Amino acid sequence: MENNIRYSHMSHWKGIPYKQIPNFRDFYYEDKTNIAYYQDWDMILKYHAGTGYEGLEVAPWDLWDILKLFKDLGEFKGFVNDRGLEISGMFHGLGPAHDKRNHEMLLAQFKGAVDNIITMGGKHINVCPGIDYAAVGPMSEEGFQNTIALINECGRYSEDHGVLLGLHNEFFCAMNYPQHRRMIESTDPSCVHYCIDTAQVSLLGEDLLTFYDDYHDRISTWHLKDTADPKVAEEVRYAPSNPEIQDDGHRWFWEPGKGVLDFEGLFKLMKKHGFKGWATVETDGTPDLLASMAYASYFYNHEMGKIYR
Amino acid sequence: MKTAFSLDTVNTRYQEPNRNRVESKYYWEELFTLISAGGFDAIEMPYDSGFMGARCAYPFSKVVLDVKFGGVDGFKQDLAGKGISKVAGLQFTPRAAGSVEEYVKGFVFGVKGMIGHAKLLGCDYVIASVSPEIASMGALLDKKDELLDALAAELPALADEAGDIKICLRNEYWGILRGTAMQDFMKKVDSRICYCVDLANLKIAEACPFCFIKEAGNRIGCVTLTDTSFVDEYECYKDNNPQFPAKQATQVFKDLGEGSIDIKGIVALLKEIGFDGWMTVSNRQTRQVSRGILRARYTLNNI
Amino acid sequence: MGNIQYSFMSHWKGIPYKSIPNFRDFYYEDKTNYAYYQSWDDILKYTKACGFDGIETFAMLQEIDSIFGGPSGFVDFVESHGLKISGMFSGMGPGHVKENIPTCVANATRAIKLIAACGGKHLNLCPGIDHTTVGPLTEDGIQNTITCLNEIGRVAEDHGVHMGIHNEFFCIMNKPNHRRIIETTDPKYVHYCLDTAQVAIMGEDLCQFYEDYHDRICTFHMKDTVDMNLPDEIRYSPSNPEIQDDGHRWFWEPGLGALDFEGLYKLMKKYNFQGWATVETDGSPDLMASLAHSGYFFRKKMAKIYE
Repeated sequence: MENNIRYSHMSHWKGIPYKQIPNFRDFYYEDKTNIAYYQDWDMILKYHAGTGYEGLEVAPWDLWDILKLFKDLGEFKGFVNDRGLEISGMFHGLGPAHDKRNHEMLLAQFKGAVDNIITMGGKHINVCPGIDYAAVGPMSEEGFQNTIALINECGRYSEDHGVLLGLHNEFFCAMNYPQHRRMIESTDPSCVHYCIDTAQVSLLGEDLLTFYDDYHDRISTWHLKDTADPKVAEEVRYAPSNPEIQDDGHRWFWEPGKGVLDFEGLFKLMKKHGFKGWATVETDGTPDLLASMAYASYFYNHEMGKIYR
Repeated sequence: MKTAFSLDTVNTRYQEPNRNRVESKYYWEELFTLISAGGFDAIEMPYDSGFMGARCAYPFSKVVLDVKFGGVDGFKQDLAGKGISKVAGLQFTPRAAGSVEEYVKGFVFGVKGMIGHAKLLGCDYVIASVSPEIASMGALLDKKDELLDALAAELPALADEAGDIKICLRNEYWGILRGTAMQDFMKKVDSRICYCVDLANLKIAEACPFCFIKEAGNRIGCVTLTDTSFVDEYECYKDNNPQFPAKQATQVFKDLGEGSIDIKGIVALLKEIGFDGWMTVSNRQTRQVSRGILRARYTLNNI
Repeated sequence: MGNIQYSFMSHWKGIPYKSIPNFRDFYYEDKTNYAYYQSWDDILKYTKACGFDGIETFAMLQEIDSIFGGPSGFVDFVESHGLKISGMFSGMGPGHVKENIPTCVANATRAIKLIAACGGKHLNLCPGIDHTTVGPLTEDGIQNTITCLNEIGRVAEDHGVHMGIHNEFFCIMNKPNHRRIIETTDPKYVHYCLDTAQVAIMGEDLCQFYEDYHDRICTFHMKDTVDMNLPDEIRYSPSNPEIQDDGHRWFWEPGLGALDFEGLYKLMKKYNFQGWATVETDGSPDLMASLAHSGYFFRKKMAKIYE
């Protein structure tokens, strides 16, 4: 029986330099460390399938490197499919949408991203709705309205092309807690959905379960990750030094179960609302992506799977 | 001769286990103590125009130094407190562009920015790569001569701006002036412009580093101590990702002393010709930063 | 459930924690991935996530007592992660000498009882000590080895455990007497654990060997190699060849060496192998990567032939 949830893993690998290493053993012998194990798409995709994932979500900043290694995104898709995986979608940064003068360029970029997703067989475009608070916050009313207008326009394009636009807010973004729910409610529900990043919305100030309950009919997909810092203070979210990467190595994001979020409660709600579709597991911040991938796979497939799968 | 250690030893670009740690400031603060403990009191840094802002604490741009390290002065004080008294130089690689005009504009923008930053940091030299990877240049390759002429025309003004700071041009093995092709170009450009002698890049491009040094003579602005045992038998210099040869995966740039370049002979030759500038260790692609620092120190102690 | 249940050999060496209640603080101490490989809880989760059904351990595993307070605590913890203990590996010791046989049998009996207490099905037994130490085997030595193996096999069978000979390319029971010992031991009690790399390095053709002895094969140690049929001077080398001075690896993750796993799996299908197969990745610089790679290789790739 097919599961309701299909798990994808976010490509946090950054800069994978090889497509497939033909001389693996010799390459290993050069320094006899584990570096050779993390240098090509072939092996890394096999790890995805080996650790129990059905798909991967592409990071847009990887496209440049991918296109150096593959003839085009169609070939990349085939390479991924050959290893038993699908591409669930791609993340996308909307850019400086608060300023209307940027809209033409940003809409073109968005359309390009949707077209790339279609080529890769993906279903989701998860969109960060603007730029960092440190750069333009606080958001003005005009900036807010401009952003909403562009999001709606983008949503119409993606919906027409069979791709779901999911807003993906982040705790350090210009569209911050004071605008978060209003943003969702002001966008067109027929074409603008929401990708809940469990850690980001919690850091931002939402109660994860309440938020999901309130907006369950808008949720297109997930970025699943844990945090130990729900409702982080304004002075941190709005810090001019940009809070995403902390100076002392403090991690906002943890593997599920290693933070404090109520995933059991969340999965009960997913069951209640009958969620069906892709959920992307994110493990940014980890010192060991593969360990985190395997750990998270165990958590969702074997622990949460008892509640809802 | 003076010896520095380049921060290009830190991989901020490609996948490797535990790579996230380099994004936070604490990583760099400790790195400076390790470099100092390895017997180096000067560093070289990659230069970044700061376009991406200051999310990560790579100390390569002014904006990151301002946001994360208390500005250039705060950064220098931090280094000094750890036994590093000098930022000897900076290095910059321009990106490919759609036209000669755009490429030259990007080159000039980058080098000007780097010179300004180098002045604040008190550097003695800046390194600029002449070209990006051949494979990334597309139609620009057909306009190679036009591109080089346009670059040469901009160099006098850049040299004026640099003043006492030496502008050193680097020719990677994947660039349009690989190997000895650089020498003809240098004859045409402003005499204040210097060579960056990058040992491994020369050797991979089948140029003899010894001959190159002799030819360059007093136009050597800085020496980059890179090491390699790589032989480019499949001509990967023409391909995408030339630092990661697709047909023969290998660590192209080895830690100093681990490759096949005669470092001892090179240093002797530099002394012989009276070179008194900076020799900078560049352990690009190292597998372990701290081990690489110690390997380099061992190599330098035994020449 | 498929025909093959996969187990992962515990090459992690001593895992010092059962679980780590203060994981985040522990991580922050050095901010490396060290904390991710320090607890049974995490490592068992990785193993399960990669599609394995169980683990095989070394019979000498001290942590069974020191961390879990004995076999039942260990079994409970492993099973709470959806895994079983397929069996354990042990060495017979110097059973080629008649006087040593009682001690060897007594030691093996302890291992067998431990395996049975852990719900395991296999004792995979290295049939002697290294060639370096006492090779080559004399005729007496061969006969004593056979006697010792038969006795241990009987004890094992009495406890519901299969004793499988697990030969190694540097062992005293080497190529000249490998097949003879298999054929001379009692097939009712003495089975064979086919270590794919070890037999190939010793000089057997993997598929031919399985074809010839498939009815004796009770389980597998699956690993790859590129050094098939090593010459005597290396196998019998006085410096003991298992760990090479220059870091040369005899063993690779399945698919990264040169063994014919497809051929083997076709034969496993032909002979309808049913039971545990243990994946071994000794020699790897990254057991997690090897675990995931092997999960892919067996569960996705070989499964198309036989699972």
